[in-house]
Amino acid sequence: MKSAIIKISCFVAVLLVIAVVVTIIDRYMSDGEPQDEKIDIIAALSAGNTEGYSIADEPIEFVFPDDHEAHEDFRNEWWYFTGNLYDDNDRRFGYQLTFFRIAISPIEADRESEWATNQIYMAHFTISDVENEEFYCFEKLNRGALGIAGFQEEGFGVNVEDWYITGVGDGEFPWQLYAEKDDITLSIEVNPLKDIVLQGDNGLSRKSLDEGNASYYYSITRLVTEGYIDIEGERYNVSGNSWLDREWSTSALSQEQAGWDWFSLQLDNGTDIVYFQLRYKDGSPYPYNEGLIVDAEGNTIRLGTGDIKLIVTKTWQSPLGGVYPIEWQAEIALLDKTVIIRAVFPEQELDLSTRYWEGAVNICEEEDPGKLIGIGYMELTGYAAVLSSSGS
Amino acid sequence: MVTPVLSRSIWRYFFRHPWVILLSILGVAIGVAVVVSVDIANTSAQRAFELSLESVTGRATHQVIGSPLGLDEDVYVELKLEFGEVASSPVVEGYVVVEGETLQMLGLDFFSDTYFSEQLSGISNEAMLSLILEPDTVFIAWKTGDRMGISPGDTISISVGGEEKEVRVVDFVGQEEGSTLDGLVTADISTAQEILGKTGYIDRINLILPEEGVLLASIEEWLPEGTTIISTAARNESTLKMTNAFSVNLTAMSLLALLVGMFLIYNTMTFSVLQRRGLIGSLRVLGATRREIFTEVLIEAGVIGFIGTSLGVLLGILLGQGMVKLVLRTVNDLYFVLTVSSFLVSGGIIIKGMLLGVATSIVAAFIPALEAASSPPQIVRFRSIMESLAHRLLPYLSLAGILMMAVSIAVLFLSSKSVLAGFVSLFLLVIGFALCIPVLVEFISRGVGSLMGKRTSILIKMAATGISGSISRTGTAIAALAVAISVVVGMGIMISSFRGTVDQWLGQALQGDIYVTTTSDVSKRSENPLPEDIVTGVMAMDGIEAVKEMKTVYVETASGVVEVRAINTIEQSKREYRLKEGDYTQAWGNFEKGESVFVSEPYAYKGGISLGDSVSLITEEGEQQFMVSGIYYDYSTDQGIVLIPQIIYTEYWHDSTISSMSLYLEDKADKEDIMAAIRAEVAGREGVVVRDNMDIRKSGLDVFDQTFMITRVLEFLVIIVAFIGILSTLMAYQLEKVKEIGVLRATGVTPRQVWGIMSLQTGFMGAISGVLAIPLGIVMSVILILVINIRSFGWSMQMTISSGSIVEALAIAVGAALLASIYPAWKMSRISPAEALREE
Repeated sequence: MKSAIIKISCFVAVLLVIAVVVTIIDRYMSDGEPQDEKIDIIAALSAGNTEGYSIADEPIEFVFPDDHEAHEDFRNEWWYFTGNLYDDNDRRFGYQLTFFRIAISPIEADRESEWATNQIYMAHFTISDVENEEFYCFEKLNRGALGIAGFQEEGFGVNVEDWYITGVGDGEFPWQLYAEKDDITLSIEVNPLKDIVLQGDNGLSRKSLDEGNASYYYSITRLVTEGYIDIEGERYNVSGNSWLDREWSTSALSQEQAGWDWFSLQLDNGTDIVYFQLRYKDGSPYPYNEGLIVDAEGNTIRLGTGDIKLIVTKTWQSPLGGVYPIEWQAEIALLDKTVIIRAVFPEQELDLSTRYWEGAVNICEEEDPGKLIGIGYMELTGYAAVLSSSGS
Repeated sequence: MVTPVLSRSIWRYFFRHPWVILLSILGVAIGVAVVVSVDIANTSAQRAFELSLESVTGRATHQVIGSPLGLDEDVYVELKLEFGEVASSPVVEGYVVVEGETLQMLGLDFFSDTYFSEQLSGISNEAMLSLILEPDTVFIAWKTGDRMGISPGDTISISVGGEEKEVRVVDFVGQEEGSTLDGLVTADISTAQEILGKTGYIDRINLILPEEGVLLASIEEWLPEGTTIISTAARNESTLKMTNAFSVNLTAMSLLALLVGMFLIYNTMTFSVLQRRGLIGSLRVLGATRREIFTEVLIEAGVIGFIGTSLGVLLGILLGQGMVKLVLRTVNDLYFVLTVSSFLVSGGIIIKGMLLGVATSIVAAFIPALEAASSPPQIVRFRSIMESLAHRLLPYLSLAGILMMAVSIAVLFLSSKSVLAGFVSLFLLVIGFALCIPVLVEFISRGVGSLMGKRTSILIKMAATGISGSISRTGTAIAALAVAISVVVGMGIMISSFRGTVDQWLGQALQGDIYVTTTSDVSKRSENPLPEDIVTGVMAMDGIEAVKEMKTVYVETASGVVEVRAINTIEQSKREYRLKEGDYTQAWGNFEKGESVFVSEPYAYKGGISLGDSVSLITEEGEQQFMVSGIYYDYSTDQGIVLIPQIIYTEYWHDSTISSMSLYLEDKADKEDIMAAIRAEVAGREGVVVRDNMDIRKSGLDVFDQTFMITRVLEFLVIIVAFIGILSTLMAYQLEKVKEIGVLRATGVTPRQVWGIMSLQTGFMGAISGVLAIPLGIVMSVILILVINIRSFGWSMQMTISSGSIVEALAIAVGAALLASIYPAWKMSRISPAEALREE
């Protein structure tokens, strides 16, 4: 009997060994888990050279509302809205809704299919819930074809799927802005409080010391805004001020540049300030900066390199990597003022196709740090990784 | 502590008769190999199909589909703008032929298709850009490209509906380790539209919807008329189900092979016990318990089974490679285009095969083990005692057999549509019949013995009655043979009946003289239309009496896609549709007026549709009901066909194109001349084929033969196992009779005469098993034809019992039996009588 048990045990053991071997072979032969890897379509899109595109190399005559439309012969373009809005209880929300146009070829081939296109549109949408220090950011990307995305001449508008900006007639204000994703909705109407201002040299905004690295750039620095924001089923009727930047170019950054720090500040006294500084890849300031001061009446003063002295006073380490300067001391000689520009909360980093920081800021006087003298938006790029030349 | 003696003794037995054990191992090995290879083939095909569905539908939970002509691309745009929250992506799909292989072409929107984008991780940015920007650029699945010797950058020629187009292969997809993409050409949706000629249309929209139905309901509400939303899971399941019956059939047939292998083990173990009966008796005297003896015999069977099974699994894996190809061919012919490159040998299959083989061996050894264990403790155990025991058992065996057959019939009548129940019934019948065989053998052998006159040689009489005398051995041997041969008979009759039916049907269904058709491999949803100028050109020709026009499309129904054929009604073509149900005049009267439709037999069977019922089809004008006035025989597809009047098609699908014409010539017309004229008319036009009815009939039968190739291969394998079974069983039987022969030799019988007796006896046994196999085989074929085939495919067929398969069966039986006597006879003739008798 004992030997039988031994034999059976041996038999079972042999079976077990076979089972184990077979399982290992099976593991080896069968396919692995599907990789959940996101393709970097932006990287895909930024490849290639600038040949064949129009270049922003000399000042042009801007015509409105025509220039609100897309300039498809340039490689990149954007309709860039940011703003600070308050609900009836003075609860503050920052928002960004940007539509990017990226041409992947200067030539639009003559094709039978309506799907064929050389234009890609991408939109970024963020809400900064200041009270809860919650930041929501979303992206949509699609081909500029069939009305799925693109600039629509009929009815004037830019859209990526169901996110859109539309105007009246040929692009007259008011404009409607709409974006919705995952229970977060922005639906607002904007109306300019000030005239369009041209940045740089009559709208030709240089981005480096090299010729041709420039864009056409105009802004509306203050638009009265009204509408609502939905956050997870809760509706907030909001109002406040928005800021529009319109820019198109083919080659903006030069090879050695890593990114920029960009500020749009709306002071309580009615003055608006825009200023950007570019950085080398090693982090040192690039010797070319630009900006504009727009007073309450809409008069402008052009700012150049060194007109605003910026010193980082506080940084924030992103959990995704990279250190962002989220608080600055800005010495504005022309206004005889030194102000502190401080993120309303640090976690306003967009982890999308490209990773950058864009968020609502507070402005205080240096002497009286507790007193708010304005609000605005700040954009910090090139801190996460080397920025692709087409990124914002 | 005594069993080691017994266990050593078995090796001595096997050492002395290596052929017996080798054949028995081989029999099990082949049986297991068949099961494993069929399992591999089924699993590989199934997996390939799932993967193919996955690469086509991605993670889509639902799909929006339109008419057979496609979906207006604006439907997608509007959906995207209306339901921006929903992950949706458009798909254009079709078939293209590359290097003679049909591949699936997928046109995707890489911006919205998140699933496929994941598969592009290895793709360079430049490649991605080229694909989106440049016309006539594609990605090809790496496995496919590699197989065809295509490299990235190559410009290849693809055939779309017979038209050659040049495309540039930008890159491979699915190059990463473990990728399963195969048989796939992907392109940007714009390119796919242009290549497949679908500008302005898409084939479907993939959607990823959350579980709860609010969104689904609102999309359903929103969708324009003529479009439908379907659940991907439900659709995939119904598509997978198409091949279910087919794989169940294959599995069942492979199990038949194993069943025959089981008889082999049974016989081997019986003889090994029998050979050692003296030893077993002695061991019992020495104190071995019944349980020890019982366990020992089971272990022996387990070891033989294990060796045979291990070999079988290896053999099965080898065999599986070929089997996959055969299964694929059938699947491609009958169901859908599929590329299997993944040859799937999973641990599951191997373990399943091992367990099945070893368990079968142990179960088969159960009775011999019991018999060994029941040996009383005595030194010499007389064989006659065992025989009388066996004779006492016979009635019970037969009773059990009759009971099983009764259960089998009950299962048959109680189950309605289950294929599995059909096979259970078939197996019960076979085993039940096998249990009755010993009694039948006894009757026959006694009957033959008594029929013999006095002048019959004593030796011949001995050969005949000896069978009855050792019924415990001969009965089971003959049962095993009969079962094996009946499988050959049953399957043979089934296949020849099927083929005959199809041949006859083809003759009837191809009444036209000349057929002008389009190659239909471009779209999954409809056959290409014939160019209008060709239609008018052909119709204007002299000598044509009438033209049947037909358009074939694949239409959505609530339960899946159905093939719809729209025809005009002309007198000449009415005969082509032989009605199974429905009054000819009335059925056609309604049909002609556009008041009703016909359905093919499999469609009616599977859908449970009878005359007067209606079928619901999704048309351009929404879902419509059509009354069925006729059910007709059709063997072209087991998925079923709905035959509709042309006027209904034009009205509800807004399409007046046709995809084929059959021409009926005037009596005096010269077929060759007209063929030549038509050929001239379509010359240079790709994708249009002109063939005569003989040609189509022949290729129809070719497809049939191709489809049944796998069945024939299985049949052949069962024959091999059966042959080995006969060989080993009879060999063991004869070896067991050494002493008997020794006595004969001692009484002066010459070695030559010994051979005579032996071959006579085995030949006789072979003949009996052959004769018994015929009724069993016929009954089996009846079940296969009337139950299994109808339940699996919905086809009824006329049974024709060909003498060929019966003669074949008898030849195998007797041939193998005679062959089996050679070795023992040769061995016997070399042994001196004294030596043979020494042990006694």
